[in-house]
Amino acid sequence: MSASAAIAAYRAQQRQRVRLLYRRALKHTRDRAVIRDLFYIEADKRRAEFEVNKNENNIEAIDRLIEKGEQRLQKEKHPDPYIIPWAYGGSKWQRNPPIPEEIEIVFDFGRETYD
Amino acid sequence: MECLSLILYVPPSSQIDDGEIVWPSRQPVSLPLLGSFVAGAFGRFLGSKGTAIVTITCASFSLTFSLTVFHKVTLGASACYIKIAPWISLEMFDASWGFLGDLTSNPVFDSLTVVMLIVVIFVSSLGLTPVSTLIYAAIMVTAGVFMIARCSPLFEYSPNALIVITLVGATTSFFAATTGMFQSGHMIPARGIPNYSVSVFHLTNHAFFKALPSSSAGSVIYAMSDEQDMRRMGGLASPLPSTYAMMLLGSLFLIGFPFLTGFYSKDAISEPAYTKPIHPDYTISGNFAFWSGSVSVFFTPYYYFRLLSLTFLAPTNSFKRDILRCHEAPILMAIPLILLAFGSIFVGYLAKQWGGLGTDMMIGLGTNFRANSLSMLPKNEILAESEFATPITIKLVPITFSILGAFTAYNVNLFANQVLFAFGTSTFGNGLYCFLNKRRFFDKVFKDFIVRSFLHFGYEVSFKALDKGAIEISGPYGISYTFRKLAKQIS
Repeated sequence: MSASAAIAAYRAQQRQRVRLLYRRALKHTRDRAVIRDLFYIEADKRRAEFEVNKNENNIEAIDRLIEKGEQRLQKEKHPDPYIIPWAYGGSKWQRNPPIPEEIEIVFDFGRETYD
Repeated sequence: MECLSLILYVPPSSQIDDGEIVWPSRQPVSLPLLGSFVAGAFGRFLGSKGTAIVTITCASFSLTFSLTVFHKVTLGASACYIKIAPWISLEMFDASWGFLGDLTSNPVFDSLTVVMLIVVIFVSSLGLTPVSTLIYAAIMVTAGVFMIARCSPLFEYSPNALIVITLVGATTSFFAATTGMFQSGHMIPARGIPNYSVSVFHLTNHAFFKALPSSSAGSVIYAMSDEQDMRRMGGLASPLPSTYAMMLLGSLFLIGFPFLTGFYSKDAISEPAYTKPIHPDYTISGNFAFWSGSVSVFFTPYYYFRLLSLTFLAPTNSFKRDILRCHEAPILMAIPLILLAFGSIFVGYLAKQWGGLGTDMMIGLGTNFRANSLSMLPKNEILAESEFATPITIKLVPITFSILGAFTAYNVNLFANQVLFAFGTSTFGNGLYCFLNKRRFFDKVFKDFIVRSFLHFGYEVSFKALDKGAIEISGPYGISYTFRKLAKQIS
């Protein structure tokens, strides 16, 4: 792999990390900013913070910025994040899971033939 | 409820008469137990409808029995007894019971048992909805309060035990101010002061107005397709008007809003704590109970009005899929709420008035309601002082804190959420939030100092030193080692 291709791959990886960081920052802002009006203001602030370093080209500087951002996210994230009820860790996780399709007969303790 | 059945089932020591035990009634008490047992053990064969019929029939019968007994024992002031043979010779589930019949045996239904019966059976009968778990939990925590009142003859003669109860209860009510345990923590200090009738009164009222918000919360969860996070609710007052009304009523009862049920009993708890018995033993614990109770009533209204404003009043934050399917609970779930709301509005006032002209039914002086069920030494009797000698400013302290808490919650969560956000994201605020979120790291402290030392003992001492050490050294390993060494020396 040539040097330029390696650099491009690394830049793509960095772009991915920034995107994830932005998504998570928005999610955790939504956990804290309960009222939506406040969330819009705070989301704009998060966006502005990302926009400041939009034109950064130095790879090491970008790495440092991403590292700093991830540390800040760890520090500021909500200890009790919102989880969708049926997602893993949610309040409805695995409640009444659907019967697998492979199972044809649901045993009703001896009465299944009378229905 | 099954545990409560078993607790109520234990006869107090005074009923052991000439070696023959006169059991308290099993009929109202054990019917829900029987129903639950049948539903649980044979539910597969009964099917869903059969289970429902069995449990509901049992609950209705026991409610009817309990109401009859309540009328006879407390309102009619007649001693009621039910004499049942010991369990071993009880063949046909036969019980002979009557009122004022056999005077040779002690009355087995005192008013305390009857009150608890009514609380348990009535509220849990209303809780036969899909969301009844919260009600059961709320009833369950009151079993300890009942037990302490039941043991009042023991506690009354040991001031030290009373002080321990007061301190523990007051600390609980302070630390659990934002959880369901607060009211129980609030009732316990009244035992330690000691003023049992007040806390039994609060227990009855609490059953109504605590079951109301619990079932309303269940109704909200049902309406919102199992969404349980308040951050994704909001604006539910217009799609769920009756649930909102019930929840608002429940919150008002809990903060002791004037002339609702909570008002009569909640303030009656704080006042005896202020005018504790004139004895140096009670000074510290009484003051501690009064002030921790008064301060912690700031947090409970905060908690409930935060719930109200985030769930019902704030602009909606929920998902479209939830808000489109949002609907008011069916009438079968609404009826228990309505009954509970009526109970919560009127029970306090009626209990205040049913004692006759100008006397309280439960906590007043000279009422024959509790008969001899609660034992109190004359030197601990402080009802008159707490009623007439407490300054009016002191009487207003708890309600002031309550209204302040409700006001703060409403404003902070609806209008000043910018401040709340800034506080939450600050280092101190986040740390405080994590600290409280992890239950004040109590689990961690418990694990580090108690659980780990037990595990350490189990591994280092019991397993390594004894099992693997002493027994193995004196056993197989030691013998083979010794013989090998001996063989080496000999050869």
